[in-house]
Amino acid sequence: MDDLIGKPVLRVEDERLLTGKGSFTDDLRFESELFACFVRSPYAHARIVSIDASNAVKMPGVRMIAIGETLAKAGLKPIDPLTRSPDFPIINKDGSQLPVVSRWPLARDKVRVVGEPVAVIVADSSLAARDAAETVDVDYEPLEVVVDVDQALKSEAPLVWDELESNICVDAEYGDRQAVDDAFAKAVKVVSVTVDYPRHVIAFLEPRAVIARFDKETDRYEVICGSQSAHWHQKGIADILNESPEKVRIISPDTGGGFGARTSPYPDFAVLAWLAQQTGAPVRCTLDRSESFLTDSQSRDHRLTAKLALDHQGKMTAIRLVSAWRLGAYLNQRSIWLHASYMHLVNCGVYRIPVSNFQIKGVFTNTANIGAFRGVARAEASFALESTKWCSLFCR
Amino acid sequence: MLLEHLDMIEYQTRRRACTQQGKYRGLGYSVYLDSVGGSPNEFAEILVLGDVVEARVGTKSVGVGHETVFAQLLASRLQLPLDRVRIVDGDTDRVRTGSGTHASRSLRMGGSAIHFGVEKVLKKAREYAAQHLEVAEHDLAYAHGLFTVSGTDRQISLCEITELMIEETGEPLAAEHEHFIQAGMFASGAQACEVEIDAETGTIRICRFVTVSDPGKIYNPVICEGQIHGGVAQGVGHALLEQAHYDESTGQLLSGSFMDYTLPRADDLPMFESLWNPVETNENPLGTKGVGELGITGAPAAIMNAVVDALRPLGIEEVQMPVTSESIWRLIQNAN
Repeated sequence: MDDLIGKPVLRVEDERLLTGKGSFTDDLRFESELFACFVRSPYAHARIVSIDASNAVKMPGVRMIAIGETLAKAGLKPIDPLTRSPDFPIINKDGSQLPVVSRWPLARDKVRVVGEPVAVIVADSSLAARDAAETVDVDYEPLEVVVDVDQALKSEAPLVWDELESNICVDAEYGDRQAVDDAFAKAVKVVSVTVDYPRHVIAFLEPRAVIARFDKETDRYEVICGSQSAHWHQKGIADILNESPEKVRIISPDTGGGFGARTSPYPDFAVLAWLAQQTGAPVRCTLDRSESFLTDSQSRDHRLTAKLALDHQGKMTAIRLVSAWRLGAYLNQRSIWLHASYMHLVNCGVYRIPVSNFQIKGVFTNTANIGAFRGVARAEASFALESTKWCSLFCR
Repeated sequence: MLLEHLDMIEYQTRRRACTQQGKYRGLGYSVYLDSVGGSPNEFAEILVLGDVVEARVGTKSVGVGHETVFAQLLASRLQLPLDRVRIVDGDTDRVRTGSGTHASRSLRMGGSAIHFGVEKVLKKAREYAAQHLEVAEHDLAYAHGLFTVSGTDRQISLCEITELMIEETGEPLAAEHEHFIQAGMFASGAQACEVEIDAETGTIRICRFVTVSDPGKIYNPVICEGQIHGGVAQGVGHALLEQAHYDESTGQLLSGSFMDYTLPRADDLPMFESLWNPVETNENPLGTKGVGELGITGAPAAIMNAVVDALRPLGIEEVQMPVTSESIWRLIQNAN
């Protein structure tokens, strides 16, 4: 059967998937299951003054309501962005460490992006949960928002994270700055191009869905959710639950696309696991497309300036790539390290450019968080390089 | 290869024809490097369960065809038909550990773990078969799920071995492998795009899109081609259509639904011409590098360079993504 290799074998899974026999998270049903609905912030930046759920409690079919404080009291933890993990090393160019900005599964003191969950309702039906969610009265004190990178860098800019001195999350540098400066000083021609690589919604086909169960006998959680990595989800969700990973079983059934946005877990998955333990029933939630637009991780969003030094033969002797990067309010796990190290790795493309210098400044803003998306960092770097090279050949 | 395929003389004819119809035609390229691999660990366990051999792997198929490609690999390494192998993923109780699917890594990392896992299983099976048949291990020949004593008709199958092992120890014939590679791996490609821009309306049409890709050894050409198509389609989205736009004063996502956010549709895309220049690597036993991100990594640059090339006669040198018909129309008006 060695002749199977390299052959256009038709996908064995297609008959099942194309005839509607796929089994995605939302297709699965469990007895006496309950439905969760998140109450989401309509503001991009606001202090939470109070949350009054007294009307929601009285709504028909409502079983349970939780807010950020409920989770904190129950011992749940915020998700660690892994900005200081030795496995994903990154430091600022002044030698300082990146901040560890912790994202609570439900916002506690303030909300930093539209769609951020502040409470969760569990009810007998999806509609009952939604109806009850609408009656939760959250008193917000709106704060000034910061959306644009240049605005965010101004000294008087509102701070996305009050505990930090500025909105700068990362200011890192790779390669040899001095050698690149020298090469530019000697260059016969210098070509520079500034390009925006816009922000994208990742829009995987199957919206985020999760079902969580808890088994009292074995004291274990089971979380069913589409993912690109069951084990990274297991670790992330167990950390939020403050449990050891063995206590959490992740099952990823058919998963309708990921494109990078399903590598690390979303904190709401852990909330569902905890709700299943609290209620003793399976708890499920399938986000609608609008919720996915607001709260799935998004991608790219760099302003890139690429500068090439050329000698008298037109050979490239140095490149400098500088990224101003709009991060959003929160960090995906590993995200900063991933973008910075990958972008640096390919910033010379396929060319023999002797020296390179890459600088990246990532800035907090009141927008959704940035995560990996197919081609992450390499698409941006090659776009900047190839645009600049094109310009050097044909434009200037 | 790319230039040969494009046929530049024909292109000049097409360009002239376009100009006569009041259209601008442009040709752009990109040549690019794709660092692939992501996490340095991946895991597979191979179990012989009766007639079927199962691979439990730490990657996760998210519609990308592992069910087929991994089965091809497993079946070919064991010399078994496809219907006698099975792939299991996405379950932390059934798969002991793993990193997952990202960074174009699944075949190179998960596939390598399967490869070494099969080697270990066959070694165990051979040891058992030699003992059972009372011959030296090197007297056994393996083919199509059977160990045969050379020159005789004495044989034992993987299925029989696993049944005997279950009887004796309670455990089936199985082996695990954790594949670890710290070093990076690079795939690469070159792409060319031809666009046509209507001078009056600014409407852009992609007329041709040619890719030449080096994903290392190709295990399933249809699935590889599908990966390139999907990646280029998303690259077209990035270059021409998509933008998550936030209101600066309120932070509201203005493109918050498919009414306002444009994903590429079939009618936005040309017929793709996918060429291959696979160079096998000896970094892993499969000779493969990665394909998942090759399409998207080069596409925005090729498209945008084509747009710049088309508008060059007007003196336009800088165009920002996403380049919509409106933004082109404005650029043309300003240039005139």
